Amino acid sequence: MTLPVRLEYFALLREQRGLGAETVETAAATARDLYRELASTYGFTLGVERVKVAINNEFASWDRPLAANDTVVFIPPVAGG
Amino acid sequence: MEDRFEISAEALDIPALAASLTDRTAGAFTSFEGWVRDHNDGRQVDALDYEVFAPLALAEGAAILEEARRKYGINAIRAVHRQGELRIGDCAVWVGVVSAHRDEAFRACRYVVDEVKHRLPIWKKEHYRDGSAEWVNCQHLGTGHEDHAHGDGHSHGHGALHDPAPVIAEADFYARQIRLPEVGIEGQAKLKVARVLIVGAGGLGSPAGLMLAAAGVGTIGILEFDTLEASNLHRQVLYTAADVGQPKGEAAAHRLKALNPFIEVRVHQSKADADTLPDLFGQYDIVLDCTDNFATKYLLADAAVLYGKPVVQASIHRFEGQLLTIDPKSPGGCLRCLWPAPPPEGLIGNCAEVGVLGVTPGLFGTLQASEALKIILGLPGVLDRHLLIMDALTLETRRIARRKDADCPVCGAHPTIRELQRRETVVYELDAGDLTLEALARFRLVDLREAHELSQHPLPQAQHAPFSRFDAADPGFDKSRPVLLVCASGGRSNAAAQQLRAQGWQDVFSLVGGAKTLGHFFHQAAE
Repeated sequence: MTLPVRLEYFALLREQRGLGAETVETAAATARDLYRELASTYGFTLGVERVKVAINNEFASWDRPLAANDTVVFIPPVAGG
Repeated sequence: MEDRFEISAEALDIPALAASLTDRTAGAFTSFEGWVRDHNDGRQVDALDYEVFAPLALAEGAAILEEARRKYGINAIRAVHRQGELRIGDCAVWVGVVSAHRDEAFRACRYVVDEVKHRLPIWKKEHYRDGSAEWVNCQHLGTGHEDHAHGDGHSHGHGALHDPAPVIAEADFYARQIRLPEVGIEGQAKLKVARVLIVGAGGLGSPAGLMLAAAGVGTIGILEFDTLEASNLHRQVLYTAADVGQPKGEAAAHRLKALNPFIEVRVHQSKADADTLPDLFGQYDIVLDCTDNFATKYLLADAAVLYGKPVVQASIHRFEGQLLTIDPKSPGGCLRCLWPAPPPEGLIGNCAEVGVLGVTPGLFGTLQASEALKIILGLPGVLDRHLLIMDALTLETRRIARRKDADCPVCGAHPTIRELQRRETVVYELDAGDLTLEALARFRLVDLREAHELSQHPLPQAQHAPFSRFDAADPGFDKSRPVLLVCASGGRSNAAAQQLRAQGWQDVFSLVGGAKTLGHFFHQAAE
């Protein structure tokens, strides 16, 4: 079974994905599984431990199960000024 | 004898005040009386109203007396400022000092009078003979006392402007924001006694400093050790082209004082590290993290928790920015609650490497100032429980709720970070100040900058090995000679040196401060 989820990428991840937002159908059960899938597809250089995930405008555990129509945002730290 | 600062609604009993300072160990007594005169700025004055925000005026007044005692070592001081309605000839302010010798008595008295007129949240309304009335400032521009040094920094005192200076009313300066019910006289008084430290006077610190100075934050500190480069100007709007090559801290203070002569600006020309931050966090109420590297951001985030002061952090990546306010009392947690440790140097890229449009730090520096003002004024909406992310291109913003992490290494239930962390103690960093031309000649110089950065401070003697393609297992140079790694500012060379040492290299070093610090060697060598 797959679920539709909206994905947003920030900073380095936006560059490595090549876009800022997309809606995908995923079979991943958790945010962690989804990120790992994307990381291997698009060659993300940041591992799960370096990135925070927010689901529906709230920082979430990587183990949180995904629900249909969740907005999942991947946020790496940045340091420019 | 205890120093006393008071606000009085009654006429001052000057003989009694003077008598209260009687001291057989003192050889000098000096006093100052400020009187209400019958004219100001060419208009006939009949009476004055002093409106005082007493809780803050008393605290600030006591602080001024304490400073005078510390600076001049006098025996005792008393000072009284009137509030309410005064007539022509009334005494509005009285300062008395006793000390062993006359010199420190005069100097301390002068200091207290000047600081009281400058710093106290007191507003003066003049009633004119023609029946009109106006709120005016309590001082004129272009006056000052002889010594502006405060703490360990350099202060740009009131005398920084040269006469003839226009006479500007402080109440006029802030009139539009005082009109906001959320600010008012009380809010303006809070701003006047607030102390905000800006760490890094660059792309973020520039707009933040300008906005805070304009809003009337009474004491602004600038922690900055760098000098201005031409490539800073497109985003660091505090400076002008004429400032290139100058120390940024001094130039920033000059600009902020020119914008608002009613505030004090202190320059701390040092780095933010475990040695400097404890004292600085003691001197300020709020800290703005306007730096551009992870090491300092984590240090400031930790300091927020360890020293119990709010730190407002902003960070930029190309067209995007992140903003959060770390309030140690908030359930929203700190930077490490989100990302427990900084990523390795060089993984994310900084402004020098990836580029930045000036408006992006412009927006976020302004938001940092907004956060500081909200905290000072007690306004709602402080970002202490959210992270704000914004893309300046799409203008999409997200406010993401965050919570303290019970496992956070600094603010969690069982913290492992209990003091500010020092950089690794293995010596692998060299400072240009410690090098001689002969010592430099021993090294194989390796330039890790990208091709487009090389023209900034050319190092034709160096072997070029861009960091983007750096591989510690196969760096493209060998160990036959000691290696000195150089990049733009020392961050990437530090990372590469650590990686090479992890591979077993011994004689590999990173140059602190980057290529620009080597310029004088090659200038020297060419002669």
